[in-house]
Amino acid sequence: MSDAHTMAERAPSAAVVETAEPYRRAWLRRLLQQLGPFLFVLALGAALTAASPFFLTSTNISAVFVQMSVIAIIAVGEVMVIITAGIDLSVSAVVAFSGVMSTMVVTNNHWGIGLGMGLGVLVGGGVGAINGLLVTLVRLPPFIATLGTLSAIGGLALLVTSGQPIAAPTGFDALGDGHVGPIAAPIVVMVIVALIGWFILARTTLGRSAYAIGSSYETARLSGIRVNRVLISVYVLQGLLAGLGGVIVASRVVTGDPAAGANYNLDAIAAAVIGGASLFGGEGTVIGALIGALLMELISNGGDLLNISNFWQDFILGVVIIVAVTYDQVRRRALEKR
Amino acid sequence: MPESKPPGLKRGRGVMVTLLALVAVLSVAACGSSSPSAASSAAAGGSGGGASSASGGSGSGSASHVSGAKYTIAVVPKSVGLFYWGTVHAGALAAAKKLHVNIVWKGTEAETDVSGQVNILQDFITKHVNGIAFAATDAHGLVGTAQAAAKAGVPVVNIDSGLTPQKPPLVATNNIAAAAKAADILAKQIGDKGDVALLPFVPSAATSIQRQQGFEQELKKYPNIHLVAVQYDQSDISTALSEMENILTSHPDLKGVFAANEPGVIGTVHALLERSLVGKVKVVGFDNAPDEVNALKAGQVAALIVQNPFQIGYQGVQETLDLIQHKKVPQSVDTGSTVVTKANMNQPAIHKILVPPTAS
Repeated sequence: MSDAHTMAERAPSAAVVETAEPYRRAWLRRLLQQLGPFLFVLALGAALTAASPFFLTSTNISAVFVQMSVIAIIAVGEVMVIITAGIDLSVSAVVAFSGVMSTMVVTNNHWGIGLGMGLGVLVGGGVGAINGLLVTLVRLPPFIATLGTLSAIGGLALLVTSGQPIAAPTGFDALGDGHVGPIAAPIVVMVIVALIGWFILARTTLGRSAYAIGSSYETARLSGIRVNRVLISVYVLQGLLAGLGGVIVASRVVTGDPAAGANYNLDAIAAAVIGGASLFGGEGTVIGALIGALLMELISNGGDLLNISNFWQDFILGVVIIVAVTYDQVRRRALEKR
Repeated sequence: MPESKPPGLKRGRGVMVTLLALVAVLSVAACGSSSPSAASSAAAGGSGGGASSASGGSGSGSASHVSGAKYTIAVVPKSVGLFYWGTVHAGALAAAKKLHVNIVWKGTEAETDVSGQVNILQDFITKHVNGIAFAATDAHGLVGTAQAAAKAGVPVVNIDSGLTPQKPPLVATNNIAAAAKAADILAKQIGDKGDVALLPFVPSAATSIQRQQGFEQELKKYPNIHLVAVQYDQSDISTALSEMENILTSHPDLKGVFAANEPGVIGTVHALLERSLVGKVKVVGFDNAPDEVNALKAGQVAALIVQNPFQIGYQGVQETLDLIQHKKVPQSVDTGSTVVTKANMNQPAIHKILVPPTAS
């Protein structure tokens, strides 16, 4: 405790104090943090159930979870990056590139489908490693580093395909359209990813270190955390997850589309932020990101069911993001005053 | 101590506000950068086919000399290298041979390179070719160039994509008429009654607007057909897939869909496969990309509305020559579109349009 006091004197910020907070109170805080978006999800669900007889059907609920799966998987990685006070803007390009690479080796080079999909995921991890190295060794701001890879990798995806989508053989839909028992495969993958992500953030040194770096880079470094190693690991994880997302997208439509994924960047960031992640670093949870992704998907699913135009859907989503972040800020200020 | 801290990890509201602003800007930029491909697939129609061989170097081109030809006509596409423009080139070459003129085919590498196209056209005006046929990469941006050509006494015809305001004669697909055909064939497929959905692509693209307009207008002729859902797919296959799933959920009695370009068609087909509704919900698509043609063969798509880029190239050269020879030309020519179904796709004339010749 005395350590925390001296630190707080040197850098008096709320986040540093938080590391000294008892675990149970931190847990309560996080719960409170998610309560807003979660209540919003419940309210929206109830409203949609009332408005459309088709909303609360097993087909539609399954469709909603499948449709949110890719954004949720990427948002799990994005929330980790945001916790370190970083950001990854390259995920859009990784989704396109990994989808294109996995379909290309399967279609053109006759790789096995599982092998091709594995390559797609690894390609994403490779881009993540480049991001991590640029952020740590080259010391580029994450925004600039990943903006660079966004453009470069997006260009590569177009280059290797000459801009044309690649059709994959029919078996390629196993991951996107397949089922594990009665549950669609993308949902199963999403749940596994979420569990692993939750475990890493809440139960491992890597996770704790990520929060510490985001709260105060200097303090984390001085207290002996190997910051570069942690940051590179986080960006690689995000890359792998974006690669996995890209493979699922390609699998669902059995096509590697070099123009795919343009909306995933902002959607993943928005999901994390709606779920209470702070772009200042040090805050954010996997469950929050999932709720954020679900909230966004409900808006677009509900919009389609009720035939609300895309223009309104975009507008509503924007308002929700602003309201969610405002709620978060107000809550934070109230806590700081205490 | 300051140097051990990566700049991006600085904390402080100013930095974060800037970052957020940049995220916003970036998202706009991302939309901007995704729309060229959307626009290209829109304008380029059936742009599929990796078989096209793009020639290297920016502003690549080729000249074909016809012995004893009196005139040289420059033909400038939106870009070279795409399947669609290869077919336009083939049409221009056929016209050159028939009409005894020289053709210079030259274009930029990207349909978004407006200034590159302006440069190419200016060079042709300076060289004083006898006439120019070009597809405007930007409806407003090329107006000045067309005026410069007129001033220099070089006759100009627009092919495929025109100008605003449209001064030179235009040879292009009438997208409104083409989409009306889509409405008619869809109505026929579903027996003139039932619920249908429409997937346009980008709300700001002229071709998307025209296809939506043409389809909706024509549909009014069928009082028992109801357009129950309209959603833009942003020329993205997986967006089209999600939207189609949701439409199928809320409209279990849906009888038909008109998907106004390639990604919409492919996304729709996958949604139908997923729900085992292939054949029960009739799909009418636009263009003739290879994956669309395959879906037609497989019976997943009932009909495709196919443009005729060969005619656009052919008539573009023909009209330019007419202008050079001071003949009267119509202000606007519709090169037409063809309704291709599984039943007629193997007729030689139709097959030629579905799988067109390509030159570049």
